[in-house]
Amino acid sequence: MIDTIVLFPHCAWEAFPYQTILETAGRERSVYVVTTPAGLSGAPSSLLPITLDELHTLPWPQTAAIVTHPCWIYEIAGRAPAALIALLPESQEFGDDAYLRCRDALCAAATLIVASSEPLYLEQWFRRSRVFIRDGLDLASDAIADAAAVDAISGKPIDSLAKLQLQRRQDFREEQLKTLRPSAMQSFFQAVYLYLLGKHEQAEHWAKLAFEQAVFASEDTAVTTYFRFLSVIRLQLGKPCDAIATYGITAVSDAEREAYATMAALQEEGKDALAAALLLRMNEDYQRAAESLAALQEDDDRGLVRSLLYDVYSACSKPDAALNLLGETRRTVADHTKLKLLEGTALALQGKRHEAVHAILQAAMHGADPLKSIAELAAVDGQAQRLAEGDYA
Amino acid sequence: MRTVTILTHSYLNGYAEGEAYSRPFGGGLERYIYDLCGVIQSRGWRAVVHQLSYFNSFETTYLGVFVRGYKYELNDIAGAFERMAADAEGLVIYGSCLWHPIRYRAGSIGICHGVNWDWHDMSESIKADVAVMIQGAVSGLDRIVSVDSHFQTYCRACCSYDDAERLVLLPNAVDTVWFKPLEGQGQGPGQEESEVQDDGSGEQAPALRLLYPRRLSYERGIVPMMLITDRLLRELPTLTVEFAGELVAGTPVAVAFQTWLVSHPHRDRIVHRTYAFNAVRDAYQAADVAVIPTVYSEGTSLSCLEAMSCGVAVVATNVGGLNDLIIDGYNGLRVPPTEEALYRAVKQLLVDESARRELAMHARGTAAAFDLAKWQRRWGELLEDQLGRVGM
Amino acid sequence: MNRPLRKRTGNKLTAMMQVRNEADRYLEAALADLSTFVDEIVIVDDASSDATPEICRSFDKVKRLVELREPLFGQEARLRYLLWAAAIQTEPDWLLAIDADEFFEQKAKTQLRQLIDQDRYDWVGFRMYDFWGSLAYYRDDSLWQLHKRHTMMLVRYMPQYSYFYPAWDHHVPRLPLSCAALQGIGSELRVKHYGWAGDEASRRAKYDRYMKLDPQGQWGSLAQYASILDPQPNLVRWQEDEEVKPQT
Repeated sequence: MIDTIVLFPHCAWEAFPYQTILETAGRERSVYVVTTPAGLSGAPSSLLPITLDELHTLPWPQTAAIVTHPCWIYEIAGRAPAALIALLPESQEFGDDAYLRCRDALCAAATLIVASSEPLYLEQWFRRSRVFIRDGLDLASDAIADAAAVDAISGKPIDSLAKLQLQRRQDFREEQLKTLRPSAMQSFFQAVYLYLLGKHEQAEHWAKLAFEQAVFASEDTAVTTYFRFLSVIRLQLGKPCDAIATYGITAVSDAEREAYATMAALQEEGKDALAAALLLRMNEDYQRAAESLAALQEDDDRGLVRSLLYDVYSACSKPDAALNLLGETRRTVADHTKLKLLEGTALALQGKRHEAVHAILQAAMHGADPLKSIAELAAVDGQAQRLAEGDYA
Repeated sequence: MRTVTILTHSYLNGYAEGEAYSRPFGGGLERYIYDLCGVIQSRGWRAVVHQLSYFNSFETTYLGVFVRGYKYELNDIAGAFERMAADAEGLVIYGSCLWHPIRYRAGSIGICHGVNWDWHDMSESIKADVAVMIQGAVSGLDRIVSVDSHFQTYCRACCSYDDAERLVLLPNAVDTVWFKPLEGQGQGPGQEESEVQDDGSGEQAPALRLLYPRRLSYERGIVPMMLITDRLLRELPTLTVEFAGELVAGTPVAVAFQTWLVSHPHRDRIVHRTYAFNAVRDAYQAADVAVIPTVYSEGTSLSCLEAMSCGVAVVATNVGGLNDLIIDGYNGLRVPPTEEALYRAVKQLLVDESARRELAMHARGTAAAFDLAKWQRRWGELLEDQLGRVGM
Repeated sequence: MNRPLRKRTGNKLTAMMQVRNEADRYLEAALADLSTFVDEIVIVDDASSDATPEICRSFDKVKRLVELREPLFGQEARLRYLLWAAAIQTEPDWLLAIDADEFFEQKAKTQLRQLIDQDRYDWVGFRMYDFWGSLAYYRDDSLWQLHKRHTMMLVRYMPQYSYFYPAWDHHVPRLPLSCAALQGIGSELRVKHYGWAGDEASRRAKYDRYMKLDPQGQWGSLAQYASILDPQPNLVRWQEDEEVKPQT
């Protein structure tokens, strides 16, 4: 039973876009905010400021953490809150590589995510469940997101709410698109919604349309973004040969060409499920890829299943799961460095900072480059420190 | 008056703007120049230093030595040395940077402070380029002083030159009068009556002190040092580890070290401080074991010599000139530059006082063979000889 | 066994051509020439009133000839699409979209196989030269610079790809728009276009036709049309290259 909420904000209360969620969820609960008293100016008096140093005093097994900035991730790591609610305002959705690593780690660890824009919303749907959006497009849809956040704190299951919102958004968009000429991107998003809802025939129609529109508009990524998506749609339509050929058409880089060759070869050998998993992975549908691969782990003579699963977990910011897959085989120096860096990431996300630094230092025995990862941790710490002091610049 | 001008990339501290160039940067190279100026002055000659200056050019006098700083471009060190040489009076000594394509003034001496391209993973092309530069130095300089046997071997094996005496092996030195074990201690550990600490088990365990006595940098092995510190502090509750050296602020190493320190569960037993040149003796005298975990780029380590001279048991890696100083198991322990090897050697010495004493005793004895007076005499003779050769 | 997506050997090269009343122009020579280096030919005849269909049928390599009763001239998109559909029914590996008055230079015929027997790119563009008033000279001036760019003529056919033409009536590209979105190369091999190689009268007739169909310059450039009548176009003599003997 959650009786405490702690908010890790990205701005002062006055500008905070999720006040209603806090107010609703905060009823009958103690609510703390990691900020200075000045940061809470204008807030209900029931909200209390708390410092980073005081965080250890909270009853974490009964606490829900609400986070609106990815740089808080290491302050929360290792504390094991009963629920972790990631609400990401549009300004906090994107940034440089180091920032995105924090964001992905937060999204991977969260009980639920509420995005503010469709790109992040849809991207996360390919990695995990319980993803929501709140972007002011449609009040009813936004209300579902708010309700989900409150429900998650109350311990209620929210998977069906997520599906409900997805369906609602798709319906809403379909209505809108009837009156407007959609751009390639809008048609594409519609295809993605339909894919996620399991409506694969309609998804194929919209994806083809998106591709046509992209070609007419001379968009550079017409083939590698829009057309490529047809490959996973066709897979779900039960046409694996067409699906793989579709992917093959779009393979340009060496990595993509190699992946296509592998898929085709696996299919030749009758290993359809593994070929399909690779196709899903190359389309960044990590959720479905992981599901199919998990089922194939028993029969993995060439280690391809494990290697793919490792890729998928690494890409989804699940370093713990990735590490569990690595065996004791002899490694090259490059492998060893990668392994140690991955360990460092996993330990940092468990809140074990000292052990994380130790692992990264071991990676740095072969060259100074890994030291940058320590600098990255320090920079994120610095950012969290500034946020805690009410410095929101 | 005979003049000797030393050209160097670094002497007085110009790394921080606002520093009044009032002291030399705390590294071995700068101390070398300081000592060499002393030799020149002791002979009644005039010592001048021309150095590169990161910020602005300057002129000053430091302990009777005229020092001029030259602005330079990072990608044209050779050009800067040529400018410094053009302005130089008397005998010119190229005190560093021999791996740059410098056009040397005839009749000059060069000093090589060690092989600094011995990182195993450096590319073949870099190593090939260095070979060309070193050959250029060997061809263009009249004499080259090598501070360790490794550079001498490198030249004999990889370069071609006619005069076998062009390379002069003149190992670094230590002032054994100043750097000596603590009064009344013999040659053993730092404290006769060791401070005892309660290690929590109810027994009185002796306090132990491990010293890393050099700049905190990647090549000087700060990474393995941090790694073994983690293990040793956990296993030895009465151990304190001191890092006695400068950090260049803002670098990845500096940030890594600060981050490591801040989150360290045993940070109350980690000390980081810097010492002026000779005051570092205090650090050696307080230490039970000194670690010189160089990963690459080492001439004759002054830290190693000083530690040995102070009668401290030394654990060093088998890199560069350290091999000229340490005979494994006799006057120190010498190991490959890996975390595991360093950890085992240091742990072994920390738990075995008699082994420490024995190594320390031989270390002090070895240091005598590298005494400063001998170095001063040899340099004085070499300079006299060279001044004669070039008719000054 | 699936049909491999991209073959590095043994590609079937099919030429596709639309024709209309070509009997007394270059058709015979064109089909004879094509027959020496393509595997099959597919033709759509847009309701010719002369011996064009007979000439087409007389060549063994013409595997399909679609004869339209009513002309689709003026509905270019439909015509293009019909030709495309007919061609892909023959399961080609590569398609060469070529007109009845276009001829590859000699050396291109042996090099074409090398261009298609690979798995890295899916289309090839060639430099096309507008011959002017004879078969010896081509035109090169400010409005006649087709040879300065590449014209996509050769594409790999992959059944799972989406091929579509824009729904225009004129100036529809000869190949589906989506082909260009794939990886392709510009070859330095040259194609000779003889459409303007006839006498002044024939060029004048073409001019009249353009001005009748497109008086406002909606589909093409009026300046370009006008330049057809230039009395002194800049002409360059064509040099056929030495045949490059294939490596053995």
